[in-house]
Amino acid sequence: MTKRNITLTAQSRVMLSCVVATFASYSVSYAESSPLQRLCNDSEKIIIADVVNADTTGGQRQATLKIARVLKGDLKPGANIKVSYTPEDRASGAPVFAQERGVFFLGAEESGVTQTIAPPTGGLGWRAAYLPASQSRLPRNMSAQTDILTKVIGELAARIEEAPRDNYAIDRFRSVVSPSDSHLVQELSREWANSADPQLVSTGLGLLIAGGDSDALVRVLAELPTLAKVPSDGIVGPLGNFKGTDERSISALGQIATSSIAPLSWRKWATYSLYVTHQRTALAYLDKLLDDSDQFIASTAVAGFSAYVTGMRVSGAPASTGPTLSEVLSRRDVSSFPKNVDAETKRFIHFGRFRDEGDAATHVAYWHRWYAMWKETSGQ
Amino acid sequence: MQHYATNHYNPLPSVGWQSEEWYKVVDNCGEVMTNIQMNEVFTSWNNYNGSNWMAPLDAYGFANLKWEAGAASWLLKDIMYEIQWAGKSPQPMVIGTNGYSEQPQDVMTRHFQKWRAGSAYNGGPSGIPSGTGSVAGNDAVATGVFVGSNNHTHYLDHGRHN
Repeated sequence: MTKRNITLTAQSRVMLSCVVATFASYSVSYAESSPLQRLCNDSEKIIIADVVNADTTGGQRQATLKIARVLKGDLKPGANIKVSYTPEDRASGAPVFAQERGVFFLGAEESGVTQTIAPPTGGLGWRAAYLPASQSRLPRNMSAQTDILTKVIGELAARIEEAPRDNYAIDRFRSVVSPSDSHLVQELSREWANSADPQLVSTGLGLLIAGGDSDALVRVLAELPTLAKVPSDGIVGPLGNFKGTDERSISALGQIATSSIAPLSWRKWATYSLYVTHQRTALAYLDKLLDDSDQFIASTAVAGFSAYVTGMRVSGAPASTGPTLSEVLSRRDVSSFPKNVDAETKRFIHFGRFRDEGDAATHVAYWHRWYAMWKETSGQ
Repeated sequence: MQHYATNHYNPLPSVGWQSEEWYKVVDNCGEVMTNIQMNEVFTSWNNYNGSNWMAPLDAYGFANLKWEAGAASWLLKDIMYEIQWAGKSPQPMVIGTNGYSEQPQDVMTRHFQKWRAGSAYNGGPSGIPSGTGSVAGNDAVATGVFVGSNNHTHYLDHGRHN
């Protein structure tokens, strides 16, 4: 009984520290379908349109659009439609961008005004209400049988191919399009990854990495000096979400994380992936990263060792409610640690940032010692 | 609050610049959080080099993070922008045309900013700050867990947190 009480106390303390920091989070799960899929499903109408005029003041604003193409719904190309939108920057005088063509996702109509459904990407003023579409280029290989999601992706891609320097359009494309959305994403990814334009290469390789392609990750390492300089970075996002566990992938992640020329953000999120995948081949890199001057990297390296010795499961999609949340929090449940983790090691299992410099130094020193011993005993 | 990316855009068709700083929110156990509210408070701001650029128009709460499909993750996207208006002196440049210079002579406004997670309420006031010298939000009553601070700097041709 006493033992059980002590266990629960330690467990509660560890879990509470996570729960305190996670209140109000994990409230929405988007793991089941992609945001663009949901956007397409939730919209009653989807159109390609140009703005004719738009209000510049007030919280809820109105605009008149001229419809160029209709992807979903019973609207007519060439007709005008009045829509409402709520800009995120509600201050009076915030700019209205009135000359760009966009993909508009529309909801219910009321008194002749149709509500726009804003993509979950953010944006400035009017631009938050739509995704950029091409002025002059038609999407490729579309037919009446093409599904709506693929049609939307084709419209967004046409804008990028029309203007490969339009960082805004590229970033918004990457914000909503997932590799699993459509066969078209796979085609575009490979084509762009092999183009002559570094910006398109970055976007293409990023999409491939997001789809789990370890060859693309290895190529990023080989072309790191060029790719690290492109204005719109397609690599950093997928780098921090890579779940591949083969030796080549871990080696590429490790070399990026410890590179002297990779951007700090790449090194941070490559380290995060090494922590999440916690393979034995990652330990040599984590050992080097323990001494990194960036505290996030150093603490994530400690978390990487902690995850490895406790054998915690590889993280999946973003945590949500229910079983996934329980799994995330129970990773820190000390009672669940494997029996073969010795008492001293358990003392140094640590996730998250350090309390202070002393705390950091103690953990870093321990895991350096642990790794040296592990290398010796495992013959690595 | 972990920095993730800096992106610079041309705020077409207006002339000027738009910069976005993207962050992930990481909990105390090192896990990337998925959908949390945030807010920002500006506690002080100053103009430099004779500029008459206004304080940030917005210091509202961020009700939700924004989705990034490539990362399969939620991000806090903080948007900064300056576009050319009659009477603005000097006029902001088109993004990058000053070489993204961050030399002292290219600083126009700098504001000290605090971030809190778990709430979108920054204490008000809502609406436009009354101009240079005002504050946006109220540090004394803003709610949420303090997670970081930075200078929010507007340069001639771009913006940055530093």
